[in-house]
Amino acid sequence: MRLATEAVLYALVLVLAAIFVVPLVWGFFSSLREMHQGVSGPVIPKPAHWDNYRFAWSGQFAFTHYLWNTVVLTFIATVPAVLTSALAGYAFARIRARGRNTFFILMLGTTFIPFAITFIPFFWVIVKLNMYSTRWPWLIWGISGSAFLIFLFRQFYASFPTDLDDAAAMDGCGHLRTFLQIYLPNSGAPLVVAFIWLGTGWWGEYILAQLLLPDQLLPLGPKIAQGYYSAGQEITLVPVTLAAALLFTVPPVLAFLVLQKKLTRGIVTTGLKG
Amino acid sequence: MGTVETPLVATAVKPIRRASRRRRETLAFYGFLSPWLFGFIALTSVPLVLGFAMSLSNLTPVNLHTNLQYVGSKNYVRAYHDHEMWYSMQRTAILMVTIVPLWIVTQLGLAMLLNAGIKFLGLWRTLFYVAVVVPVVAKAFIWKAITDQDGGLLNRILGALGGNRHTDWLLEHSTATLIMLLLWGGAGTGMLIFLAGLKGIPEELYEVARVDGANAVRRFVSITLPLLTPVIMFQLVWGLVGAANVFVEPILLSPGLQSGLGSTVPTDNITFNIYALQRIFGDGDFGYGAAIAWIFVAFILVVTALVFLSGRFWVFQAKEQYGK
Amino acid sequence: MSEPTEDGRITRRKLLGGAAGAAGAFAAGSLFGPELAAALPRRRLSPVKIVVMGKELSQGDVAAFQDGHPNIAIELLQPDAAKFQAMMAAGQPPDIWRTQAPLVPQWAKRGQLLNLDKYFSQSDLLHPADLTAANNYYRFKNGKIGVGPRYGMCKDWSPDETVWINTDLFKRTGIHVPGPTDKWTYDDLWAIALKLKKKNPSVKWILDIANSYAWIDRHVMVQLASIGKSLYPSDFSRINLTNNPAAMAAFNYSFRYSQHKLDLGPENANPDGWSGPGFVTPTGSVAMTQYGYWFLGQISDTGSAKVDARSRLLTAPIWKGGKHLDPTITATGWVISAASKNPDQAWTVFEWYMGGKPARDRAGIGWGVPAQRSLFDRLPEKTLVQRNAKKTLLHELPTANVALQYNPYLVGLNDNTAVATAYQKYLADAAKGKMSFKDFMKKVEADTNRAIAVGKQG
Repeated sequence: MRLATEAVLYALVLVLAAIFVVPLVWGFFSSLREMHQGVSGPVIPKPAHWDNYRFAWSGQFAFTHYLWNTVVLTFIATVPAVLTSALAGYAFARIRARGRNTFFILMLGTTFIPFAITFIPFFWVIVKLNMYSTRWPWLIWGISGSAFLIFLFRQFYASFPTDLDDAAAMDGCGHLRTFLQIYLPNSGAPLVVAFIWLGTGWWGEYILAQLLLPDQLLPLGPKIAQGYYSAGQEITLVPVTLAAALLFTVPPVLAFLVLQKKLTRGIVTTGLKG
Repeated sequence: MGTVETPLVATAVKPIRRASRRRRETLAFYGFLSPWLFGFIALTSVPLVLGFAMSLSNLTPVNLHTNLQYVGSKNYVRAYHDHEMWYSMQRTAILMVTIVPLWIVTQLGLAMLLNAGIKFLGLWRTLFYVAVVVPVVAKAFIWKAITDQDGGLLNRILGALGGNRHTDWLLEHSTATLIMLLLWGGAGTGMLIFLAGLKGIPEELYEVARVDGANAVRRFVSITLPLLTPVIMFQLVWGLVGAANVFVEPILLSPGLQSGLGSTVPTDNITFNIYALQRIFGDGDFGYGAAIAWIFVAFILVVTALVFLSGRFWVFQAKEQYGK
Repeated sequence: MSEPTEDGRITRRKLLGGAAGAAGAFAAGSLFGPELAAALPRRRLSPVKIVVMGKELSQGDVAAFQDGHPNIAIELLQPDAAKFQAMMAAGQPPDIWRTQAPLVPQWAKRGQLLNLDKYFSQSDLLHPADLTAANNYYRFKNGKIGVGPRYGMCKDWSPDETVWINTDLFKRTGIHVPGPTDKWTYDDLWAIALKLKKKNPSVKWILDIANSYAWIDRHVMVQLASIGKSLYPSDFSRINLTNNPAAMAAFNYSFRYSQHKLDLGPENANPDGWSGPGFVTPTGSVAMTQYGYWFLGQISDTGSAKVDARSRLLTAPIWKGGKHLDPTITATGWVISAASKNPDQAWTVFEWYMGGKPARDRAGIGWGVPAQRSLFDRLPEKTLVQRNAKKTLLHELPTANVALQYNPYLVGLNDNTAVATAYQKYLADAAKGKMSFKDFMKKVEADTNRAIAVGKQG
């Protein structure tokens, strides 16, 4: 009886895992097909056209150039955001001040505002500030932090043992030192969660870059979305485009694989569960 | 922000100390919050006000200095009579009520499987989660390869089962394709959050229930589910907001070989955001686009407010609440 | 070709800008964008960047251009209407963009295009006297298309109302098919289409009209022009449709093909999205397509003797009571932005693309008629279909000298105007009989008038 239950359990997990992984595998198979072929042909392409990856890397456009752009944008939008979100999270959790509750609710409220309503006026603002076609908006997004991450850090810091604060206060620490010397060094879990979530999000970002940046500053997302063409003709080389898309997928997946244990633990310990 | 570093110095008069301490705390609070406040003003408040002003104008990409006029409620009146706007709202609502329950059931189901004492937990968790970190452009191309009319995986399976092996998923079943992509790419995070929630339920509760002779279903209904209701509420709200704001995926999933803003999104996949963007960047009608974006804000606020209010009736209230 | 010069002025300005910049600007400049990066002193003169939003220009061509012009860098952007609007709104439109005839007046009217008369008069490669009538679509003055300064030119064009026909599908049907220079009417076309559907039911798509209706308004405008009528009043303030029996008749003519499923339409969709591949497959699933001469390129590219032998180009059908008219309705070409910071370099790119090697190469491949008469002797004549198509072309040339008056208030970068977008949008329901033809037209009219009202806001 117990054995049967286990068998069913493992079968279920296996089937579900397959369902979740098959799309990636299918994308991978399709990236190995003959360049002009689309996705038809035998399930496992024979022969496998590994050349598609070489073409994706060096064929149509300077892949490395756009890869670097992606790194830069991800960095300036993610790193400041994680730090300022931690700061704000600490403030919401640990500093008593008039207006705290109001701003906390306002902060959560911003996540309900749809893209279209703020983007267009923001667009005019950055045009007026001569920031169109530059990376400055990404730094602004970076500095401003993310409401979701602020919430994450607040939840985490709210469950921090308060005797640490008291000890720090005894030592004569101000909030900034308490934050930098006690809270931040013990924030491994939410930091990992924050970097993975925000970093992978910015890495794959499409629409803002597409609308705001000139070609030479584009990250890989919008660049790959244009698709690879055969020279001169209006034919998209589906397998090559998929190869490029998968190359583009490698860094965030690697980051996740390396950090996945910490990510899970981070979600458990930050008390995101409500 | 450097202002907060003054150490606490014991002074003679207590009330003064308390007042100055409170001032310091306030300063520290707003100092810590200032980067976010800067963004709140630059990215949210100012654009909201400007956006509302735009919605009362006839702004186009090129008439800012030549023919910009106040048009009053004209854009809102037009929106009221705009069937396509209502249709896009309907499609957005359909997407919300379809994908959110699917997400929650899948996420909770996967989390419970992973919480059943299974071996190789890390492996399974990784496999379920990995799609979340795949960039959206790659997701879209992968799903285009899966739903391809000639030789896509889905049509191969369908053909093998005796169905139509030339089904045009991207055009004729565009919403179904979109939902499959969203379910695949959006289940992982919620699964981890549910998993954390499950781990937070004390094992003793189950043991007591077992001693009382409660079967698995009973234990799920009377222990797991009630104790998870705060997590479900959390996932429900985030899910609804996320689903309402879906718009990059349909753009990238539009049929045709290219992806991008310029491509044609099938009518059924034109969500509210896309409809607004099309009016703005397709027609060059910034004023009208801003007006319907505001209508959308109202829609989301109403929906989420209703969900929050409903929480009184079904969310399990434990000791936890905001602010210590 | 005008010689690109080493522009000392730019270098000095950059130097001054660099000196004024803060010390930390280096890191910021390389990280945040070209403006700051450009403000820094450089040893090497960086090339002037010309942004082209377009297609039909290969990376190979761009590389060849840059070899000959080290001081000009071409940045090629894929056409994207939303990005274009964003760039326009930001005051940073592309230096050059690809467009078609109906879209030019919107920008010309608002002063957004560079007057190229000065450049044309000094050019060694492009001479106004050599330009075909199709280029008149890039002239605009006082609300009128076809006169005044030149704001661009077409890369190629075609008498677009000519009809391609797959003669194989008509064999053993007893249907008479006109020859390459025969006169025929739209009533003949309708009769042939109906008969073919009856005699050869295996043909899935009988006729592709106006690029699956993406160009339906242009197509109707040709029919109306042939009887001296128009779709718009002289001030372009609205579309005259339900109050305009001639326009209703013209739209209804095309609509009947959808009702009878003779077209590539919503009720008879083609998986390729256009009739090109279906027309040239070995079996041939598309019988007729009203694309124009340029489609010769698609036929020739197959390299198939069979497709070659069975394909025939027919003259433009004559609209009831009208004269024979066959202007281009595409005239795909380039314009230069009035806001371009480097108009001279933009012109160099323009001149090279329109008058240099790319133009000479284009003239010989059949994808359209060259914009210059002097390149006509390069028209392909190797195969029978190419020779016959040239015959038809020469027959049509005298009837191509008309400039249709497109509405300058219909704005955007998409090839579909608001009229065509609305037509395609409501066609499915109308063809299924969910709404009457009159209601269908009312909807098209309402959508178009709304778009015109937006366009009039400037």
